[in-house]
Formats: sequence, structure tokens, C-alpha cells
Amino acid sequence: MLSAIRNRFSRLVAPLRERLQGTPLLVYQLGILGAVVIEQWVGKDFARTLAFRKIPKLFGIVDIFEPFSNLDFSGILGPFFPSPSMTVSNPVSQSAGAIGDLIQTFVNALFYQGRRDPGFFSVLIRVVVYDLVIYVLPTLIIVLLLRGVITRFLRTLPRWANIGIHLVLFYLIIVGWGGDGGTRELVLIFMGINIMLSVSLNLVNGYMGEFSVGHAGFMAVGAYVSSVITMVLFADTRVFGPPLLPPEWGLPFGFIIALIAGGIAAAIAGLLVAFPSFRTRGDYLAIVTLAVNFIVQGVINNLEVVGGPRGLNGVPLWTNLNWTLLFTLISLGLIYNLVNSTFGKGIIAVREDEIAAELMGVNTRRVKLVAFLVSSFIAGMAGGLFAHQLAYVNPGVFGILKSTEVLVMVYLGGMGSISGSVIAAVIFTILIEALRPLAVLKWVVVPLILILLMIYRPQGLFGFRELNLNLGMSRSASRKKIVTSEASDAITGD
Amino acid sequence: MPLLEISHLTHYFGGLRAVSDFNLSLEHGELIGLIGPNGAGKTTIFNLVTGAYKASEGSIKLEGQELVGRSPHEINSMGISRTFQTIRLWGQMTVLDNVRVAHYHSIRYGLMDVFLQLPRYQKQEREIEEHSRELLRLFKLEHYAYEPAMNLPYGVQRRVEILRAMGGRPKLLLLDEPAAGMNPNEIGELMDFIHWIRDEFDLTIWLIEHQMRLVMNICERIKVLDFGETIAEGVPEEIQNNPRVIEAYLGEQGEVA
Ligand SMILES: Nc1ncnc2c1ncn2[C@@H]1O[C@H](COP(=O)(O)OP(=O)(O)OP(=O)(O)O)[C@@H](O)[C@H]1O
Ligand SMILES: [Mg+2]
Repeated sequence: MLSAIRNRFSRLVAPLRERLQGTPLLVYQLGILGAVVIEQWVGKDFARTLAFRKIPKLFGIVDIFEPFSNLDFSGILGPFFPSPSMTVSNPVSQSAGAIGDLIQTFVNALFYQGRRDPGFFSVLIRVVVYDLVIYVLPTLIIVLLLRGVITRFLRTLPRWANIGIHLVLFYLIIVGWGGDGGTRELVLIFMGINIMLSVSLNLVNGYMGEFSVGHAGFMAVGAYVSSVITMVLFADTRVFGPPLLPPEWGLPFGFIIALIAGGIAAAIAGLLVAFPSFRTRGDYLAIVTLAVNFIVQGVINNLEVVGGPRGLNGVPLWTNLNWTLLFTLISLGLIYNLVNSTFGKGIIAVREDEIAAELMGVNTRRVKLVAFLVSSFIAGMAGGLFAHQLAYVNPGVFGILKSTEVLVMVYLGGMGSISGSVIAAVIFTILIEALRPLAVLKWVVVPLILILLMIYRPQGLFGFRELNLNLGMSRSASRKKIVTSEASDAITGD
Repeated sequence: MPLLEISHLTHYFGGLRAVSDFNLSLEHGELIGLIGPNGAGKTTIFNLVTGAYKASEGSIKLEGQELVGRSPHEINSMGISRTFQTIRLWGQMTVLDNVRVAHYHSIRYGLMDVFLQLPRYQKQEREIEEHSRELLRLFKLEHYAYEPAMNLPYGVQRRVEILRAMGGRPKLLLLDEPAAGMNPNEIGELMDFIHWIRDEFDLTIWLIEHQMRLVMNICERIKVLDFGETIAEGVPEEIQNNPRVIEAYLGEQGEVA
């Protein structure tokens, strides 16, 4: 049935796809920017016309799940495991009653929940209308209009101007759409942090083929070290007292230094994994990474200076969209340059056949050391951004659950693929945001995704391949790029 | 000074003496063979020379420098490269990347050069890429450049393995059963090919082989191993008529004489 729908859909859009074939990225960027402007201009009014109270959140994905927020699952198993104060005479019938109520609420959530709370289908239809009118149609129209002109224009540009113009448009779109200081900005910040985490873990798990399961540990080190630095030096807090330096110095230099210091501290913690990796591989090393995650948490829990299990309050609220963008792009650049260098290909050779790599001249210890250090360094910086976003950190956040989230992103995106990890982090962040109304159900849905993924697409979205962005460069401009070897494994148009 | 000088090389696996008192002096430009029945210890000797195993006793010297105790990548950087009895290419990597990585020991740039794509990095990467492409062209494999190694036919993979070994610009090339799994036609081509690379790259070649036609035809000198002991050595005619060799091979290959 599903494939029938997919066939029909692809037949429907086939003529459009044909027309759009070979359209450079910049044209889409302009189209999306147009949509963003249109939303700023008429978005609110149009949302009201569709009987929304506000502009739908995250393309309406959040609104669609909102009706289910009243579902209460606790009644099903609760009667069988009552709390001491509660007396349950007949758990089976109580549980059955709870299931009945649950079904009732679920049906209501689907169709109608009263005048002020529309049901799922009602929201879905209106969200689709909103997205089509505000985002999809304007983008398509602009793309079709500008396609020819822009394609020709791009061929005249030198390489640096081409990349520059793409970056500027990317920035305008991000800030135009998400620079609202509200939910969108928050989601984008978490997206950036998640991208840093998944790409850095992919370096170890995907490119090097080890199985690290404790990435959150390095994030914790970065979060705490950078927080302590900024709090001691630039903030007046109850824990550390008045600042040692004038708070004006905090931004931008103090923050940059603190984040980098956090990264370096995390990299040092990465040595705890790197050294054992010289001697063991696979399952055993996985256990080591798990242990390091617990060790880090355990140490923080027992450090009274940073609040122990209570956590650290009063971290300066410095992380914003620009900082996140900057550090995300830097991290992506570091990893991209690394894995495309001959040195970095040595990391992949270790995955493919470590003994052959060593015998063909690769210093496998050095390669492993670098992979673990770079990976944990970036995770540490991500942790720093995270802490300065929440203004509060506690060791419980950086547990095995967080590490699992990062693993899910890496495997969703695909091993050994930077673009895969980026896209997976974007999807995952939106999904988590959308599932927020479902509370605990999130921890049913996320593992479920992982299981389905392993069954139906074990290689992830982009396993060992990269998304090929069409920058529309002229031949001579693109030839300057020395590394060309991923040309064949790139994904083309379809 | 000989290029490679092995003296009293002995190696134990637990109680098993896989190689005992092996001696060899290899001059620059020679092409020699190492033969012997299955389990004789041939591959073990290659593993000792390349540093995959650490010799129990004896010494291995490359141009006067002791190799025993050095790590494999160090030995590789000193000028010894090899292929494997069973192909060990990096399967998911493209042919071009396989060759590029073999240049690892010539890298002089640091991590910062990589991250910031500094001129030093650009220059070295360009040299590595150019040399790799040059090799691909010489080996007539350029149309496979972007093909993942595991997708190639078996015979091509064997050639790519030799190609990869050449990436590090070795002085001494060790070939472990290069003709394994080849038909007589391909073996003929391989013989020409081995001669050609030796002359083209001014190499010294030491090969292990069970295919007697190949060994007898191209090797200038042959050593025969049985149960880790050297039982004979000399030019092909001497080996073919040596009674101990024939005995060792009896029922094994039967194609010595
Ligand atoms: N890593 C090892 N651990 C223990 N024993 C080993 C090891 N490698 C080889 N051996 C043993 O050492 C002996 C020599 O093995 P080797 O692989 O050198 O033989 P070979 O001459 O290359 O044989 P073939 O022609 O079958 O490749 C064999 O008995 C083998 O079982
Ligand atoms: Mg062997």
C-alpha cells in the first residue's frame, strides 16, 4: 500500500522533477529566502485565517502532535504496582478501565476535543495548507523563475565568490527564519549542538569503525570546564563569588577561550579512550567508552565545588544563534578537511583493515589518537555551548541516555558520512521537539526508530556516501579543488 | 653493502619453530624467489621482515640498519613494501584512495596544516595525488580510480595491491603468492609485469610462489623452505634437480621436475 502511494506521488511530481533537474543550490536558497520573507510579511495573518492562534511551530510538526498531549499511559501498569499509600482492590479491572479511557482520549485527540482544542486531522489539514502556501509554493515559483538567470550567473563567479554567496544566503535564511529569540532559535541552537555531536562521533564510529557509546561524557567535561571558566572569570555567582575579570571582557573573547578550553579538557579526557584503543578494539573498547562516560559522571557527582549532583547554577546565558552557527561550521570544516586528507584516509584504512594499514606505513596509533582527540574536542565544545544555553548544568544530563541520542543520530544519518550526520541531527532535533507533548513516549519512539532503521535501512540515510551539493560552478572554478576522490560515491540528482 | 641482510632468523609460535636459522643476503636489483610446501614458514618470514611479527632470534638489516624491534609502519617508511597472500585492500575505499594512503609515511604536514588547508598541506597533497595518478596510469588502472576496491574483479584487485605497495616508493617489494588464483594466461602476463615493474621502478623483488612456471622463469635465485628449515638454494636449474626439493614437494605439487 505504502509503495503504491509512493509510486503515485512520484508520478505526480515527475514532470516537476524533470524541470528542476540540475538546478543549483543557490536557486533553492533564494526560493527559501523568498518564503521566509513572505512568512514574515503575511505569515501571522494567514495563520489566523486558518484559525491558528499563532504561526504553527516548526512547520506545524509540533502542532500536529499537540492533541495527543493528554494521553495518560500510567493507568495501564500503575494498578499492578501501586504506591504504598494507594490501595488497589482489583488491578485488572482498574487497568482495563484505564485502557478504555486511553482509547477514548486517543479517539478524541484524532477528531475533536472541544471548541478550543482541535483534533489531529483538523490540525494536519490546516498545517499542510499553511506549509504549502507559505513555504512550498513561493519557493517553487521563485525557483522556476530564477533558474535560468542564476545558473548562468553562477558560471561567471570565481570559486571564493561562489562559496561566499552560498554562505551569505544560508546565513540570511537561518537568521530570517529562526532569529526570533524564541522556539525556533532554541531549536536551531540544539540542532547545531546535535550536529557537532553526531559529526564528531561519526569520526570515531563511522570513519574509524570503532564503537564509542559514551560521547556524552566528553560533552560533560567541556560543559563543566567552560562553565567554571566563564563563571569564575566573568560572572557574579553564588557558587564562585564576584568575577575576577571585568565582565565586559567575557564576550566575545572570554567565551571563545572558555569553549576552546572546554574542548581541550574533553580531548584530554579522550585520552582515556585513545590509549586503550591501541591495545583493544570492538566490543572491549566499547565497554571502555561506556566506563569513561560513567567515570566522568561519577567524578562530577563527587566534586562539591561544582555542586555535585545538584549541578551548577548561574552559567552565563551566552550561547545564541550566531555562536552556534560559528562553532558548528568550524567543527564541520575541521572534520571535512581531516577525512579528506591523506592522513584522514588513514583513519578509514584503520577501519577497513588495521593490520594492512600499519604494514602499508600508516602510523595507526597516531591516527587513532588524532581521531579520538578531535572527536572529543568537538564534543567538548558542543557541551560548552549547551551549558551556556541552559544556564544550568547537572551531571545527570550527560548520561548514557544522551550518549544514546547521539548514537541514534549517527546511525540514522549513516556511517562515514558528514552530510548524513548533519541531516540526521536536523531530523532528530525536530522530531524530539515534535514529540515533546508525548513526554515519556519519546523514549519509546526514539528506540523504535533505531530498530526500524536497523531492519529496513541498516546503512542509514547516507551510509559511506555524501550528499552532492550542486554549487553551479564553472569547470575551471571547481577544478581548483584538489581532493576529488569522493566524486564517484556522491549521490547525484536522483 | 647488501640491500637486505638476514642472519640466523628464527621464530617460534609457542612451541612451534616456524622459521629456523634463516639466512639471506639480497643485492640491489635482484629478483629472487622463496618456495616450499604449505606451512613451510614462507609468509612468516615476510611477516618478520615487515615487522608484523617480532623475530624470536636473529637479525634483519636493511642497508645496514636493524629492523627487528621496529614497528611495521617504520619499516615501511624505510623502504619495504608488500602484498598479501589473501588480498587485503581497503575494500570500501576507492582505488585512488588506497594508493594515496600508501603515501602516508611521506606526509610532513601537521594537523593544523590539514585543518587550515595551509600551503604546505596543499602542496604535499597535490604531490601525493599526482604520484598516485601517475602510478594508476602506468599500471593502466586509471579508469578504476574512483571504484571502491571491493567492487573490482579478483585479478584487478591483485594488481591494485601491487600498485598500492608501490605508493610508498619502496626499494624492496615483497610479493606473497602474486599468481594465486590466476589462469596460465594471466600468469604469463604477470611474469612480464613483474619484470617490467622491477626495471621501471629500479626495484628489488622477493616473491613467494607455488606456481613453479613463474618461479623458475623469472627468479634469478631461489630459496627452498621446508618446516622452517632452508633445504636448498641456488639458480632455478639447480633447484629443479635437487633431490631434497623433489622429496619435499612429492605429492604436494608434483610439477617441480
Ligand atoms: N600467527 C600464528 N600463530 C601460530 N602459528 C602460526 C601463525 N602463523 C603461522 N603459523 C604456523 O606457522 C607455520 C608456517 O606458516 P606460514 O603461514 O608461514 O606458512 P607458508 O609457508 O606461508 O604456507 P602457505 O604456502 O600455506 O602460505 C604453519 O605451521 C602455521 O600454522
Ligand atoms: Mg603463506
